[in-house]
Amino acid sequence: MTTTTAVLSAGIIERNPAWVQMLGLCPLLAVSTSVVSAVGLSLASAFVLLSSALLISSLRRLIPDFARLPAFMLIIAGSTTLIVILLEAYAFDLYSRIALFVQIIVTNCVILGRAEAYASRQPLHLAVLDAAGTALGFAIALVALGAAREVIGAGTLFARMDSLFGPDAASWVITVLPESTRLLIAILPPGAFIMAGLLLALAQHISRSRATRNGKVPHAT
Amino acid sequence: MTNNIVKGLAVLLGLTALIVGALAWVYDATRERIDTNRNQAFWKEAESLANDTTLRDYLERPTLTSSVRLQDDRRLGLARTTGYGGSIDLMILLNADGSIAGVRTLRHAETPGIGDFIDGDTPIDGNTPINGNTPWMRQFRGLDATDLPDIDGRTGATITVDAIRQGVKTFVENSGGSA
Repeated sequence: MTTTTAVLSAGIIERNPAWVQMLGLCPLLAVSTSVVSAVGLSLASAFVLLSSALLISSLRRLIPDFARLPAFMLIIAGSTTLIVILLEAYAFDLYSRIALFVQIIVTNCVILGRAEAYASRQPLHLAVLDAAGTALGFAIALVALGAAREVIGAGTLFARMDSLFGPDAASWVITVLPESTRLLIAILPPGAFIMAGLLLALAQHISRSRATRNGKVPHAT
Repeated sequence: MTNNIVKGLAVLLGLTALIVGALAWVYDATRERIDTNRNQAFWKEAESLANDTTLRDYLERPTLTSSVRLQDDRRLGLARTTGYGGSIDLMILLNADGSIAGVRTLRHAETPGIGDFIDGDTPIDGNTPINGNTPWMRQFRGLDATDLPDIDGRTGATITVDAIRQGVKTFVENSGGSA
């Protein structure tokens, strides 16, 4: 594998922020009630990850060690505020439903973690790749959980996509389950924990069986 | 050492200036659009509630817990009450005789699937929204403040129901409606 794909896939699979590093679980559990919220938060998180990696990596030689954390927080808080303003201006419907969770992206440990561990030590192109991989990994976990919870809890898939992608997207909604078979608990907080646990178990299972197939002994966890 | 501290402070200051500048510019560039969005969301709801698409042409937007008079003597106002998940903002329309013409929920944080039958956007509990309203909210139409105890409750959502009922009652009484 070339460095490019290695860095990208590390963020998506081997070091997936959600199911390997268990970071950013608060937004993961809170916003995964439907696909549209999950996609919205994924995009906002990706924006913050990418722009902070870009700035931090290009300024890494200028920032002395002791000023590292305040500088990172400044950059992350700045990009979060920026995406909040942009969302309110250009995706108002979505903003009014997930605003709180977009604002707390600033405290998402995935972002500070990647800034500290990677972007502040690596050249620009690798830092951006790593941020893209991490963002994609987080998005996959978030959207998968959102889709599972929306199908089981509300019986639909892609409902209200128009609040993100314009009026044409209103017809994307697919009704999967009839009303009588919906399990409301999937959309409520306990459902978030149950579904996230199942997702985690699935991810563990897949990575273990891959390791076994490659002749490696999986870690006992 | 001192050199390093000065350099660090200079970098932090420069970074702050850069970020504040960028944010100020974006804020300024999007302010009008955001105001338009907020206004449109408000008037869309108000005009559907009053069934009158000319409101935005002559009315001032009421502030929280106040009301404005429509040309036909009805009154449109905003109220805030406290539900299970925090404050709930209501838009209330009173008929000229002081009875309630309609109630809408503008903002709330009630539990999805349990307390959100007050919000027309959410078709989860089978309440197909009609004009952004739910059957439960439509009960308020035509009632006086004295009729409010008659509003149907909801299993599992006592606090939400009481909050809306109390919010509407306080609003009607403060607006000098029929009590």
